[in-house]
Amino acid sequence: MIPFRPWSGPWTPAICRDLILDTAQEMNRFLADVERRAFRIAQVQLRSVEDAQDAVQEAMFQLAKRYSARPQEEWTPLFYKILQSRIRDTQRRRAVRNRVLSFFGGQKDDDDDAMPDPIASAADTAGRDPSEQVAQAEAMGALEDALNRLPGRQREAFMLRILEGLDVEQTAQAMGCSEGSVKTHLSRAMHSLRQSLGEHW
Amino acid sequence: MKKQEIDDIFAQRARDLFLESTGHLDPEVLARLREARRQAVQAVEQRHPGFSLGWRVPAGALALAFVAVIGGALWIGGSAPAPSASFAAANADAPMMMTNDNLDMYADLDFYQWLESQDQPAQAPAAQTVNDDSDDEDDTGVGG
Repeated sequence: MIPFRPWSGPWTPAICRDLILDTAQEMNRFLADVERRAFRIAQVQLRSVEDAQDAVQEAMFQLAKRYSARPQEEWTPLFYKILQSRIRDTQRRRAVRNRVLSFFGGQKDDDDDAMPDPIASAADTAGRDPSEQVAQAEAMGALEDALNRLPGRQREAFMLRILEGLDVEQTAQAMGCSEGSVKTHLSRAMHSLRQSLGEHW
Repeated sequence: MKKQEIDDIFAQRARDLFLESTGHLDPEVLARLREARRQAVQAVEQRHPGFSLGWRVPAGALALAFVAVIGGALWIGGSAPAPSASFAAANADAPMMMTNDNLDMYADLDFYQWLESQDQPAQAPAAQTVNDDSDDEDDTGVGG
């Protein structure tokens, strides 16, 4: 990662072009590193491949368009802040749509029932035993179910801090709250998840 | 086992399962993620020229226009004609008017105009007396 360095010399076209190419390359590396995890974080919360892809695509584009000039150490919390905002928007729109549909007596919009599970349908490239694959897929499925029963802020804190591996400060920036709130949400999430998943998970 | 240790083991297992699940994504999903990334990188390349150069061009043009306007104004001002004679004559009293000593006189201008009109009939005899005196002096001088 190239450290952020304010340029104090003359802004010739060649220097501008070099800086643009540097930033574009760094952005490409950053997004390539986070895209799979970001997709899974969105998919776990939205339970829809399409919506998760849309959310990640929007977060990538907004980060590149608005914040690529910011120091690179800010990209991670900014990216996840945009992504979480997009996920919440999608969940709100879906909740409104479901209320309207249920008011008129229609069917609920259950995207997760309609979609094929990409994890279960993908081939195992690690050459593991099929029973091990099944056990891991079931354990991950149980974790996803338990996560979706948590209050939204607890779920966000757990996913960003534990699954994505952000530190407390970055998690607080991404969630738009204090570090103390992150610790509180995370502690409650851990307690609820351990109770929900049981001793032998 | 302490609660913190249990939490750490739980968190590690959750993270391992999560990272494992990212390694088995559908090829279509991966292709779409790559395309989204390509568009985002393109947005960086399109954004920065507008940020680093685009505003400099109109700013430079504005600065040039400003310098041209100021230069033109100075050039025109430098070759302007000198004030006319009537203008100079009209301002001949300006130094006198600017001094505080004469302000009282200008405040009572009507009084001084009246005083001048009263003094005029008496000036002629006074002039005659002077002439007589001068004659006397002349006589005295000749006689002395």
